Amino acid sequence: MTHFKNIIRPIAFLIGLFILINGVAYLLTPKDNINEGVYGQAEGILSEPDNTIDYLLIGDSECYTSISPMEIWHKYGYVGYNCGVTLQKLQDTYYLLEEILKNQSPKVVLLETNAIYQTSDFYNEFQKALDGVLAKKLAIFKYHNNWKSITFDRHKGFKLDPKRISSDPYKGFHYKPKAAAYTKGYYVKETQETKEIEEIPLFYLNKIANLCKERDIQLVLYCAPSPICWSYAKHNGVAAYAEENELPFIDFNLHTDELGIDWTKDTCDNGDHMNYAGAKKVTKYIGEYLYAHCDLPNHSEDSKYAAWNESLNEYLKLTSQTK
Amino acid sequence: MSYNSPLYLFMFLPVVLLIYRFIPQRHRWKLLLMASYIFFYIFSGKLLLYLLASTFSIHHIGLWLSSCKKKYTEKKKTAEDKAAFKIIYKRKRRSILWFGIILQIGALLFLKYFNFFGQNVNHILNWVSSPLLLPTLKLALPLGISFYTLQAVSYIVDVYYEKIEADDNLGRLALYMSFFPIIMEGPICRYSQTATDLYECKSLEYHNVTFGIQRIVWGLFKKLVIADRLNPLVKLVFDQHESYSGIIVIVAAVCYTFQLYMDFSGCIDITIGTGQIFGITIPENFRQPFFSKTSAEFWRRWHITLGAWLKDYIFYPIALTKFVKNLGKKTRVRFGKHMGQIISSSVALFGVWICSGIWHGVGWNYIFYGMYYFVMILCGSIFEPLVEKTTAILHINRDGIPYRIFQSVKLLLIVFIGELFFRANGLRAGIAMFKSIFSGFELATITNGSLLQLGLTKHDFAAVLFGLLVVLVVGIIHEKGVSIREKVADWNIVFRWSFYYATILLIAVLGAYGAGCAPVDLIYASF
Repeated sequence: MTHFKNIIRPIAFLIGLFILINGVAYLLTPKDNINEGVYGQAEGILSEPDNTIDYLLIGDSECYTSISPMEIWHKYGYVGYNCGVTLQKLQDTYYLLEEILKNQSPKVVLLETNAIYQTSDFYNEFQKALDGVLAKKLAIFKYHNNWKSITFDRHKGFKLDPKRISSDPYKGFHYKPKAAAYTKGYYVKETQETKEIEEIPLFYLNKIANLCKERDIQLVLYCAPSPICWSYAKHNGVAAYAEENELPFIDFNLHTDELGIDWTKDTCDNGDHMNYAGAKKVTKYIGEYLYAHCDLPNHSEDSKYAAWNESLNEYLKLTSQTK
Repeated sequence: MSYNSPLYLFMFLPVVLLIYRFIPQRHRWKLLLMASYIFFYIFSGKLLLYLLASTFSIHHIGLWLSSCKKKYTEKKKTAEDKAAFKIIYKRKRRSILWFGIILQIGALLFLKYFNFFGQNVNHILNWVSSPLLLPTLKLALPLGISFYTLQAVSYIVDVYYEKIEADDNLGRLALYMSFFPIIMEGPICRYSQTATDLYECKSLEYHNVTFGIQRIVWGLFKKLVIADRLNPLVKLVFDQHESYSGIIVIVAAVCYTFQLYMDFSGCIDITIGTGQIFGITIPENFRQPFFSKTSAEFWRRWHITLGAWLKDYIFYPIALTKFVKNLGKKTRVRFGKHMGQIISSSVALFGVWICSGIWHGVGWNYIFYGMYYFVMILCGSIFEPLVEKTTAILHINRDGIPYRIFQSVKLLLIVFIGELFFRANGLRAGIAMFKSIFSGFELATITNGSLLQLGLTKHDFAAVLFGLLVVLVVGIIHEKGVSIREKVADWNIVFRWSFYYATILLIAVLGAYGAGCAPVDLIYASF
């Protein structure tokens, strides 16, 4: 009898735990993209009307701080969304892209390459891939941090923060107006050394490339300027991959003079990420690139996209403090 | 695959447990050994050879010491000059012992410190314009080398002093050296503490399994809710220390101290919990260190197994040398009993703390860290009679709460400063950070929102404070000698399960994991 109890009890306990965890996860899962978790701003795209996006930006924080879709909309009328997520691993990037492509059919996907090297060894990467699968299968993994967005109202009780990301005027871009100078000097030191892409990031990079191929999407690799994260060996690794797979690769670290990057003014955190001033320079280059190499339609006069012009006005108002 | 990862908790450990449960008892030690080598190989690959070499060598040296003793016992009766024969025997055994120690410590020193030593020598060579410089070698450190080396040394020294018998079973010794829950961050076990249990491989018992899992959950709480959540702030301020000063540096030092404790003790909880599941008693490594009154007591409660190792294998061997004994006698005559004792024991204490500093890491800041505690503990001993007299004159009750609070504040200050240097990126950075506390001290930092620009939001701070409060309450209960797990086990099922569910849910919700979080790698695993 004791033996039987010792088997039944843990099973009952685990069933109870599973129900409770999923119950809590349900409470923390945003019902219509109104959360403020790390996915919040990126997943604002899920609220965009179906098949309205021309190009997508994916990657980690280097992505969401380096390109502002609203600047491109302003000048070219191309509709884009920045889906960068803090410290995102490539497997999560892949899953997010897969999710987005259910409702959107962009012509171009720009992948920021820093996440490729957010890696250590095979087993650590395997571990992170497992985390990615868990995050996909168990909502608590993905949304547990949303407890921070719970507010209490005397009349309505507890609720998730009602801020609507779908009306995000930044379209996923993280606006960082302040500057914190990078002062350690010139960081581009040419080398023949190549930093190999580890197995697991490579696996997901190939999956992203294949997914884009299947959906007839032009995949463009780009690397945002970042003395802290970038190295020439990493550049060589991505360049070799791009060449092998016939993908365009723009490494802005080799073009900082051309862009006019001023490291005393264009970074928000001593050379790790671009601030708004730096992002405008990178965005200008990307806008020109899209104009010259990708056949994207100009929607600025299209009434279907009127909301984008409203967002633009708000965006200009919000960013008008920074020149 | 760190101990707090889903890969370890939901795949590696359950698979090992499942196989362990269904294979015959006589084969279980082989499973544990295989699992341990796989675990090691995952982190260190071919460097597993170092662990194997270390295991083979201590096995051989143990048996060598043992056979030497046997031969002596057999031949001493027939020896003509018994005294001379004994001296030869003693010398031989001592040579074997030193050979073994040099082999173990030599490998550690070479792999860990060769480049550090080379860099410093090269500085001097550069200074004297020497054209010859020591090369920088590409040396990879095997997982847990600092921990298993100390275990190896303790084994051969204990065999030498006949505290234990030399083990002729290579499998048992190999398992003692490599058992997967302890290989990464210790605790540093003695052969007599774990080897027999490990090899015996008891059957899984319901009580052990449930209590072991509970201990693992407690470790996860400390690691995920506190240590990992504090990481962005600690990393930012210490890595970019030039940009910060004053209160922010103080906050970073305090946060790092708690992060280190929660990370290390959390990992040890997982280790002890894993051991308990298999019915193995792994020694405790922490006993509410922040409740200590003095630096010396702090180190008796913090990283207990390292302190005990240093005491047994560094302090006593030095303190019992002829030189130190004679020094003690002379200084007692010259300076009185108290000072004489302090002067002689300070020689051994110096050895302990220089070893502790060097063991902790490669860099002058670690040596400084060791010396810092040497000075603090020595000062504590020197001034103790003075403090005793002063408090008596001032009628201060040393057992009273106000004095207790004063002692705690003093100790916390010492610990925070020590950890500031310990975590700093080098001694120079540590000194610069320490100076910047005074040069950039502005009270306005607390109110002007600067603290919220360090990678943690108000919610993060709230979660950390909540976590610390829970740890404090648990610490107070443990300090009273109460076992919370035993108490909870006596509750009726509704309360008991509610308690377990609440704990797990707290970790699931408040833990810093998943996208957007950069958890800290197990800190002591890199030492």
